Parts: sequence; structure tokens; C-alpha cells
Amino acid sequence: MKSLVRSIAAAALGLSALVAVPAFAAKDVVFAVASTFTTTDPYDANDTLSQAMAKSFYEGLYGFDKDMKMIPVLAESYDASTDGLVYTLKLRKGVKFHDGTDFKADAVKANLDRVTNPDNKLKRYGLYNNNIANVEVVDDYTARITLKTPFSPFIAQLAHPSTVMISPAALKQWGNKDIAFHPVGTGPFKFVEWKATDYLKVAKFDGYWKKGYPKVDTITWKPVVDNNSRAALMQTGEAHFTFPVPYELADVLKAKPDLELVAAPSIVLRYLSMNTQQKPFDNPKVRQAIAYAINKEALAKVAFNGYATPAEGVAPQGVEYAVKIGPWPYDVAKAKTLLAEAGYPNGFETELWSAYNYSTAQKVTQFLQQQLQQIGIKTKITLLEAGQRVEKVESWQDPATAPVRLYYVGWSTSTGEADWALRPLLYGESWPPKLFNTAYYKNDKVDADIKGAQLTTVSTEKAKFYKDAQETIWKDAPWAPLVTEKLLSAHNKKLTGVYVIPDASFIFTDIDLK
Amino acid sequence: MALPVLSVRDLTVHFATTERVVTAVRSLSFDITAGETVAIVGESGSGKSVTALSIMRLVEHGGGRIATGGIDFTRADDSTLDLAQADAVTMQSIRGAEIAMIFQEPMTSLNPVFTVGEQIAESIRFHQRKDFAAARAEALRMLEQVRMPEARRALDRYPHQLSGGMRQRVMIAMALSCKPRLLLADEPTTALDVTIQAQILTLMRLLQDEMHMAVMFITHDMGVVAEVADRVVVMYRGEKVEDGPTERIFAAPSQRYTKSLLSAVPRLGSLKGEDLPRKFPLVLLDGRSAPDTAPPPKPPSPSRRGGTPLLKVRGLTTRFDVKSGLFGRIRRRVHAVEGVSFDLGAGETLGLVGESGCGKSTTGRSLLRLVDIAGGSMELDGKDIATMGSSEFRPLRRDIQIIFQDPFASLDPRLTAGFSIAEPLYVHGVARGSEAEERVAWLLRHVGLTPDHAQRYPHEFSGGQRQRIAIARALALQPKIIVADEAVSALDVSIQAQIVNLLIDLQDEFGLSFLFISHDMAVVERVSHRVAVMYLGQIVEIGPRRAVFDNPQHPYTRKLMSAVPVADPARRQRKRELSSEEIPSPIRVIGDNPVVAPLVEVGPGHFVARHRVGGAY
Amino acid sequence: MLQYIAKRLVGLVPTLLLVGLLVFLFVHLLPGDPARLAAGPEATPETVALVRSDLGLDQPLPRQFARFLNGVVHWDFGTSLRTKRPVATEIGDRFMPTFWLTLWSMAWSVAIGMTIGILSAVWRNRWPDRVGMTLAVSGISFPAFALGMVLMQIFSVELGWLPTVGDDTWRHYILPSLTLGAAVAAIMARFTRSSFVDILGEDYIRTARAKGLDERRVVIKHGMRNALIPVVTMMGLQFGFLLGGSIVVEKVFNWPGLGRLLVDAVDMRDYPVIQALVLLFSLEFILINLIVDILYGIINPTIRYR
Repeated sequence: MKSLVRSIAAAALGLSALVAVPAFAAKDVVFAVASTFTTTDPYDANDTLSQAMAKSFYEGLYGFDKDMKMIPVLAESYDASTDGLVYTLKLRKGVKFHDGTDFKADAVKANLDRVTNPDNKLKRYGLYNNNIANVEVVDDYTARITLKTPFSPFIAQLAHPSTVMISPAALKQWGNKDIAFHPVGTGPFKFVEWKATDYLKVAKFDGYWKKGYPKVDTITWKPVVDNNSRAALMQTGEAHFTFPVPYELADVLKAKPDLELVAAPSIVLRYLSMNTQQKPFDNPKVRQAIAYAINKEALAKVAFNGYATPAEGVAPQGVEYAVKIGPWPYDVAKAKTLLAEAGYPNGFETELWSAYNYSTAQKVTQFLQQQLQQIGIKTKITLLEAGQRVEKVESWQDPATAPVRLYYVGWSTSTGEADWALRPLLYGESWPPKLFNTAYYKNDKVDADIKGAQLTTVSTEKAKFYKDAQETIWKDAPWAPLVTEKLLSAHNKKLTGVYVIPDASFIFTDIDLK
Repeated sequence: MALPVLSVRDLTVHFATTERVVTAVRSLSFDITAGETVAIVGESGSGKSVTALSIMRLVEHGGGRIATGGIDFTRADDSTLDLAQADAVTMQSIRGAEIAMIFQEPMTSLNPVFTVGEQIAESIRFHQRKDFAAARAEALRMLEQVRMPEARRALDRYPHQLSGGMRQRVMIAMALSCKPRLLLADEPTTALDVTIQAQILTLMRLLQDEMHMAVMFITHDMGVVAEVADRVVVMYRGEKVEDGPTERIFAAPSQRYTKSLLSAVPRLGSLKGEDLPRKFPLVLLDGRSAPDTAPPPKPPSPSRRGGTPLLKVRGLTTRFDVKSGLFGRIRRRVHAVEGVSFDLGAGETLGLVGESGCGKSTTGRSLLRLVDIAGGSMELDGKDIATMGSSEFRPLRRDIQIIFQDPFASLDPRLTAGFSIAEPLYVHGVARGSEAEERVAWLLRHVGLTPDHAQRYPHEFSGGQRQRIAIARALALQPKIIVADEAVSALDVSIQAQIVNLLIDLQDEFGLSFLFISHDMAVVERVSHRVAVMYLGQIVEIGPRRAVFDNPQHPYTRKLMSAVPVADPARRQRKRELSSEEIPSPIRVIGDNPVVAPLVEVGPGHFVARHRVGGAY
Repeated sequence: MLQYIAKRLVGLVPTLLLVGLLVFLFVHLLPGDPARLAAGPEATPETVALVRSDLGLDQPLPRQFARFLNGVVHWDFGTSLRTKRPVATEIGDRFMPTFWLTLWSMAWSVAIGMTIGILSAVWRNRWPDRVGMTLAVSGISFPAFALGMVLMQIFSVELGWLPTVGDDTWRHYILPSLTLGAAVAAIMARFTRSSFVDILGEDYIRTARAKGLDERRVVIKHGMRNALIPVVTMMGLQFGFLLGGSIVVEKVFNWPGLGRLLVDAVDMRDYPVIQALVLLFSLEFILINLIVDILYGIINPTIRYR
């Protein structure tokens, strides 16, 4: 017993010795984010947050501004051949990596070769659809990429937050796996340390190519899972920026004089997919009836506290080539008529699954259940846990037996371009387990449009293809489009230059702390 | 005459429960002078323990309250203090120093987590302000004074490492450590074996003489009273029935209750010269004599006698393994029963006596195969039930039933008495429905209860009634043999006598055979046709009850007989040698098997062990 | 005694082996493909296949189990599927914070809980008992996350006395250990009370009083050690539970604890982490049991080790 007391006392002493009061330099910013980082290597990350954080030290050839307009970053310009196969990139001069080496065309080759090599087993291996034939270094500041087949959204893929330039020297030094623990890029901040359980810290890179930037000394990325705790951190001033802010806490934070709450538009579309291969959803009238039966305005209010707007198309506004068609009107009478015409005057019973099991999803599904009840459709709700979702939906091998019926899910078009909004979700070859066409939708016209748009590099033609596809899909209604979410973030009024962009990533090139 | 050390005047003690106030002691008065032993006698619930606790003022901790009366205690300086009015601090200085108390259960009355030495020394340190070393030395002296063997080693032992007798010596040492003027002894020997009881009583008398203490001795055992008391206070339901010098109370009780109580007391040697068991000639509380004028029990049916006995046990051996060491290997064994042989005829009672650990209960359990036996044969009606498979044995279980000491523990508190009795009928498929109900009613009537008792639950019955229910359950299947394992030991003496009489009646009526297991020689004398004395797992003497009791051959039997306190002050054995002999342990290392030899016949059917069994014999 | 400990430690090996096998089978029975989960929502089947082989999940089960066992024997628990960091590091980072938090929580809650329990038992059915048991019932029934949030709101947000989240300084320990310990203190209080009430009715307590000892000595000296026996069991159990990490407290206070690690691991079907954690928890429970048994022996000399 005595020795126990002694060791507790010793521990107490040890702990108090650790109380190193952080010497607050002038501009140290803390970001409170919602989950822990999986990796610092964007090529091996599949979560938006890890990729957003990686923007501290990594930059891509292209990127987005705060309105999600594509802008050149490490590339200055590109030139596509008329057959759409060869892209020649002019690179920015005078850019240095954190390790002191110069950014040159060999970096482009090294990085693209790395991700497209299956031996490296990177999670973003599929990003370029296995379509890059080769990457050549033309000269120090010119790189040439040749594709196997024409693919017009290619530059958008280069703007994807995964496509970043890692120092080839560092890659060589640390190797394919360990680079994740020693990131070396060209970004405004250098990697300092990553305490997996606590925070990831970056510090100003003095050799940053954009003179005068960054304007703060450090950023500490602090994952705090609990919403309330994150809000508390903002209120005590321990954090300067937080995302996401849950809807129910929005008013609390809004009321604080030193905080600012921002509701930004997103490209996160929430929809209800219907398995078009199965009765009764093989009948377009049934699907349309369901789309009519749902009051999207009310849904946005009930489940999203008003921080969402009814979906206006198949791809959300903000995605390139997205067409504004809707919202789909709320009309119960029409829904009933359609259902009767389809031969279900008294409705039917079916399953309603949610891809998520958090509380908003619960509210949404309960609301949907209620709405569908109005036209006689009885639903049994199941909120799938991640593993169940993979097993019962995403990895289901045989489309004929797929158990999914009504499925509430969402999609964020991370490339910001219509291809990634449509192809994974509605292309005839994207049925699970290949991609996420959970409606098992197949329309030859849509397939042809998507294919056609990929092959042309002419912007107006692409727009035509995508418009046609989106309108056809809207009519066919493989989904009932629901809402587009708003992204709620809060920041201290002293903090400027941090934006949440529509794909839920962050832009903080102009970050400054007063 | 000297001033009394203690003078209780008109004491009334209440216990308040949520529903009502119970008066545990009412208007009690008595005196004790120095050097005198006053026995407070009564059955359970008579208020004798409450009286002692009231004198100690510990009754408050149990929810009691002294309502009226005074407890005048003469202190060492001849000042008199009314304990009933004393404050807490004064009481603390008196308790343990001037008034000490010994309790019934030496097992539970010592704190298991402190050494014996500490528990004695604590009191010395506290009251006499001695330092640790001096208190320890005094504790050692006290242990020596209570004749604790190896007293120095005993100081550092824990209570569980000592036998019951040794623990009671520790309790006495603790109580007497500050040389109190008054000792309250609450059933101090009740939980002890008879030979150990004799030692402790002798020791107490010796120490009392040395210290010239006043002793208040609480007991239900009239034998002990006759042995130790100068005066007796008889209590019944919280009130004093009568008091007076011991000889007078025993010889000429003036009150009906005292007469009734004395009539129920088994007196060793009361059947001297008689062959057959005899019922207690009970005097009922209403003054009538029990209808014991009926003819004495018949001898066991002659048809069976001399012929094949109903049960024939030969060389029965039961051992328990004691595992120890890293891999739980068997290093030692308890030789509970070693080569026991006896016969039991139809309609006969065989008394099995011995002290704790002698193997008498294990013998009973072995007969029902409640424990695994290591060897020997047990023939029931010519069939060997020892080697039978369990499915084969199951129907034969009907023929042999058991009654345990504690009827409360052996009845399921959530089942009605009726169901408990009927359960064996259902299990063996003998009867069901109304037939079973009739049978239960019949059984209840035969054990002296009424059929409407069937609807009640065990807690609604008194101890004696519960034992009657247990007997009814045992009788349900019309067995041939009933093993009564200390079946009357936990009961008050008057109840005990009634149950013994009941058993004798039932034997008469149904021709039952009893294996009557008991540590109480006097009760065994009452009920048995034949008697077997067990010591260290073996029978050392067996024979007709008259032969064994009137003419004991084995030294152990003789010792056992002489240790029994006789409820007759005229036959008091004041001068007894003071020994501290222990009952030896039946645990032996593997391979060290005890000697077993055939018994030697010394008279008709009377056999005695002439080999060395172990221990002292 | 030493022999007894040795025996118990030897007996631990087959138990852990069995636990290892069970948890291995169990994780593989969980629905959902870890490769799919790790590859992420946008991955193509080719990518998933790549991830699968990267994680070694394409090999037959017995082979995977053999590899797992071999790893364990060499103190190598593999690499987390989720973070690619060694499992030993993942657990190591969180073990000590969890351990210290558990220790602090237990220290104060046992001290407070037992004090309340003893006071309640001594003054049974009087006002200290009623106050104590009211506190205990609230402690048990008040949900930990709510308590944590309320405490944080009061002491961090409103008063600004204590930090909100993290585990850097001793001040960070105060709120989480209060939150975590509240229920334990309540349980200890109730347990100590009932244990003490039983003990105070024992014959040897009466003996102690009959010796003239004052009530304080009767309760503390003669009651305490005996009453501790069941209380120690409860303490061991609670300690074991807390060492498993508390998801709620870890979430609210962003504590780097094992509970959340396990939940995250299960969510992502992070097999190596789940396996190692379950093994660790089993080991902890076995060791705690052993310590409890040894404490028994120290408290109660009637218990002999065999």
C-alpha cells in the first residue's frame, strides 16, 4: 500500500514536471477538427480531413480557390493535344521543397509514377483510372503526360487534393510507407510533429515560394471528436477554428460575440437511391411517386436545422457542368396518382436503409418513413454501421440478389467536376461492388453521354453531354434527390483567411491572426 | 454477607421494530456476589442473552433499549454505579476491564484478521495503558493461564488456525486479561465437543476461584447448570420464573415451567439397567404429564433380529483428498471414515456417537451415497448399494432417507411446507394431485402438525415445527431407514424431547430403523437399541446400548461418558483433572494409512477395538 | 505465496492463447471487409484488391492466425490497418494516459466512496446515511457524458479554471477523473455500506465492543479490514473496467484512451488493433484478479493460497 502511495506521488510530480507552459509565440493557430488523421500522405488517404490537413505542407499542380474554382498552383499552364491524349504542363519556377531541393518536372514524374504503380498499394491507386500511359520530363520545368484513352476531366483529377507534389528526395529517403510520417512538400508550412492521439503541428516554411506567406507561425491541428467539446474549445479560446459545427450547436456559437459562424455551400448531395433492378422500383412511376412524396424543404428544416437546401439537380451546384433542374416538387396527390398508375394504389412495404448511423441520418430516415407513409409505403428502417454497409451494399457481389432497396446516402464530388459526380453513382458499369451505383441504374443514353464527355476536350461539347445525362437521369429518377447540405464552421473573429470549400476541405493560404 | 457485585433491579428491555415494540426482558431482578456463579437458564427467546448484553450496555447496538430498572454494579473502590444510567465513556472504561464477556461462538466471536496475541493485547493496552511489548507479555501470560498449549506460538496465530476449544480459551484469556470483577459467560461451551466442554468448564471454575470473580453463566444446558452453578435463575419469555440455590431448583422446582423444563432434560444414566429406549416422561406446561403411560417401545421385530439385518455395512471407507502444491497434487487425505462395519436391523435404532471430526456424519452421508466412498460394502436388503450404478440406486433411495441438523437450511424458503413434503412423491412418481395432498395431510398429522400447515412457508414455523416438517418429508416415501444426522441438536431442550419422543413413536408405528447420529450421549441413551462410538473415523466400541453405557470397555468411551455433565447437582464432579488435550485430526499424508483391525467381542454383541486407532487411543 | 503467483502466471498462458484464438475468429466473423473500409468510399475494386494484399488479408485464415500468433510471441502485434502505425505504438500512446486516468479516478473515488459508505453504515438509516446514499444513487444514475459536459461547461468555459481537453498537465486530469470516478465512487459507497452493515453485525464486532474499545476503533480497526474483502473485489472489477478505457469520457475530454481506440478499430475492422486490445484487456483482468487475490490474502489471513 505504501509503495502504491509513493508511486502515485511520484507520478504526480512527474506530471507536474511535464507542465511546460506552452510559450505562445505571436501567431499560433489551433484548428479543432472532428476526427483523427489517418495519414499525412494524400495518396494513401481517403478522408477529406486528412487531405485538407495535408494542404499545410503539400501543394498540387492544380488546386481550388475558396469558391472551388480550379486554379493553377505548382503548374503555370497546360496544353492538351487535340486527340485528348497528351497533356503538357508548364511548371512554376523558383519553388523549393522543405528539404531545400528545387521543385522540378522530375517531381511530377516521381509522384505520378508512384501512385500508378500497383506495387506501392496506395489507396488512391484508382484515381487516374489506370489511364496514364507515361509521364515524361521534357525539361526541368516541363512535364508531359500521355494518357491511354482520351479523358477530358484529367486536369480536374490533377486538382484533386490527393494529387500533391512530394519531394522526390524525401520519397527516396523515407520510402513509400514511411513518407507518411515525414511529409516533405512545397506548402506554406513545414511538418513539425504528429502525436497521433493529440495533435499534428506545422510551422511556417520560410522558403515558401509565395512571398509574404504564410502570415502565421504555426498551425496546430487538433482532432476533438466530441461536438460539444469542440464547441467548448472555441468558447474558451483554446481553438481558433472548428469544423464541422453540428446544427444543434450553431445557435450557441452564433451568440458568442468573439466567434463567427459561417454556413458555406457544399457539394455534398443527399439522396435516396432506389434499386431499379427490383420490383417495385423497376417502375419509373413508383420512383417518381417517391420523389414527389417527400417534402424537401421540411426535411432541410427538420433534420438539418435549416442548414441545407433542397437538391437542385443530379449534381450539386458548384460542381463543374452541374445543371440546375429542380428542386423536385412536393406533391402528395401526384405521388398517389403515379403510384396507383403503377399498380400500387395501396402502396407496399419495403426496406429503408441508411448508409450512416449518426443522429442526423436517424432524423432523416424517420422523416422519410413518415413521408412515405402518406402515400401508403411502409418502410422498415435500418441504420447501417460501416461494416454492415460494406458487406450489404458496397461489396455485394451479385446485382441480381442485392438486398438494398431504398438507401439514404450522400456524395461529395471531390474533383469538383461532373464526371466524378455522375460516373461512380449512375454509370451502367458502376454497380457495386465496382463503384457506388446503388440504384443499379443503367441507361444507355446516360452511359453514352458520360463516355462521350470523357473523350472530348472541348468544353462546350462536354457541357452538352453532361446536360443531357443529368436531364435524362432526373426524369428517370433512380434517386429521389433530397438536399444539399451547408457546411457549418466557426472561427474566432481574430482569425481570417480560412474557408471551408464546398467539398468540405479547407483553404487557408491567406490565414492570418490579428 | 458481602455486597453483591451486581444487582439487577426490575430490569425491562424493549426492542423497537418498525411495527411494534417487543419486550425482551420484563421486570427482572437478581444479584450476584463475588466468587459466586449464577446460572441464567432458559430456552431460546427467554431473554437471557439480552440480559447479559444489557448489563454490558451493548444491547443498544442491537436496537434494544433499557426501558426501566437499574443495574447496580459495585466497582473496585466499593462505589456503586447504575450501569443503566452510565454514559458511553464510563461504559467503555468498565467494559473489558471490570465486566468482561465470553460468547457462545468462539468461531465467529474472534476477529479473523488479527492474531490471537493482538486481540488479547489490545484490551490490555487499552485498559491498562501498557505498551506493546508489555501487553504482549501479559497476553502470553494469560494464554498460559488458560492452559493454551504452545502459548508462545499461539500468540502469532490467527483464529482460524485454532480449534474451537482453543479459540474459547483465547476468548477466556481475552475476557480475563484485565481481571474483571464480573464475568458474563453466554453459552460459552455450547458449541464445543463434550470432552472440550468439560475442560473449559473446569478451567473457568479454576480461574474464578483464583480471581474471586462473580460469574453470570448463561446456558440452556441443565447438565452444565448442575455442574457449575451456585444459584439458578430460570427465565421464560423474558421473565424470571424462579430462582434459588442449584440443589433446591433441581430437587424441588416450585414452578410448573421449571418442572417441565427439567422433565425434558436428558440425564445420562437414567436408563441404567434397561435394554430398550424410552420416551421422555414430559411434564407439559399445563401441568399434565405427557401420555407416557403407554407401554414402552417394543423390541425390534424378532423376525429380523438374528436373521439377516436390514442394512449390513462392512469396511466402509470414505476419504477426501486435500490438494496442494504447484500442480494441485494430492498430498494429504482426510480419513473421514475408515473400515467401519455395523448392522442395522429392522425397527432398530443404532446410535452413532462421537465428537466433531470423528466421521459420524460422513458415515451417514456415505449410506445415502451423498459422498463418494472409497471402499467397503453396504448391503440394503441383500443388495450392495455401494457398488451400484446411480440409476440402479435411485429407486432404492426411497428406502433410505436423511434428516439434517438445521431444518431451516434444508427446506427451500420459497416453497410451502406441503410442497416440500410432497416433492419426493412427485420425484419418485409415487403420487400426485389429490392423492399427494391426502398423503401430505396424513404425514403432517403423524408428525404432530395439522393439515392446514401445508400452505405455510418455512419461516412461519418454529425450529421444532420445521424439524417435524423435515421428518414428514423423510417419511413421505415410507422408507425403511432414516438417517437422523444431529436431528435434535439445534433444538431447545423441551422441543428436543418432543422430537425424540416423536421419533420413538414413529419407529413403533412403522417399524422404522434409525441411524441416530449425535454428539449428545444422553439423548443417544434415550433413543438407541444399540450404540456405536466413533473416534478418528473408526468405530472403537459397538454393542447393545445397555452394555456400552453401563459397562464401557474402550477408554475413549469411558472418557466421553465421564465428560458429559450430568443434570444432577448431587453428582457434580467438581474435581476434574485440567487437561488441554485436543481431538486429533483425521488428516494424514498419502500412504500413511491408519491401522484398521477387527473389533474384539467382549460380551454378547458387544465389540471393542483393541488396536491403536490413533490420537490418544 | 511466490509459488502461488508463479502458478497463476503460468496458468495465464493457455487462457491468453484461447482468448487470442477466440478474438481472431470473432474479428473475422464481423461483417464488413476491412480492405473495403480502408480503401475508402471512392475506391475501385482494383484498389481494394491492392489494399487487401497490402494488409495481408488475402491469405488463408489459418495462415493469418499463425502469423498473428508468431507476431505475438515476438511481441509484434502487427500494424494498424487504419493508420499504418505499429499496433504496439498505437496502444502504447494511449495506455499510460488511460492508466493514469484510471489510477487517479480510482484513488479519489475509492477514498470518497469508502468514506461515504462507512459513514452511512455507522449512522445507518440516519441523516448521514440518507445524504450519502442519495449522492450514491445520483452518482450511479447521472450519465457520465452529461456530467463531463456540465463539468466542462462550468469549470472550463464559464469559470476558465481548468483546461477543456487533452492530457498534458495534472490539471487536465481533474475533470476527466471526476467524471470517470463519479459512478465508481457511488458504487464503492453502496458496496462499502452494505459490506460494513454486514460486518458491524458480526460477533467479533460485539466482542470488540465488549472489550471496551471506543466506537471509532471498533469500526476502523475491527470493521475495516473485514469489510474490505468484498470491497476489494469490486475495486478490482471497477479498475479493470476503467482500464479498458471509457469511450464517453475519452470522447468528451478528447482523452487519448484505449476505449476510443477499440471503438475506432471495430468501426474500421482494424483486426490487429482489436486483437491486441482484447488480449491486453484479458491480461489486465487476469492480473487485476491476481492482485485482488493477493490483497485478499494480505487482508484476510484465513485465505490460503493453493
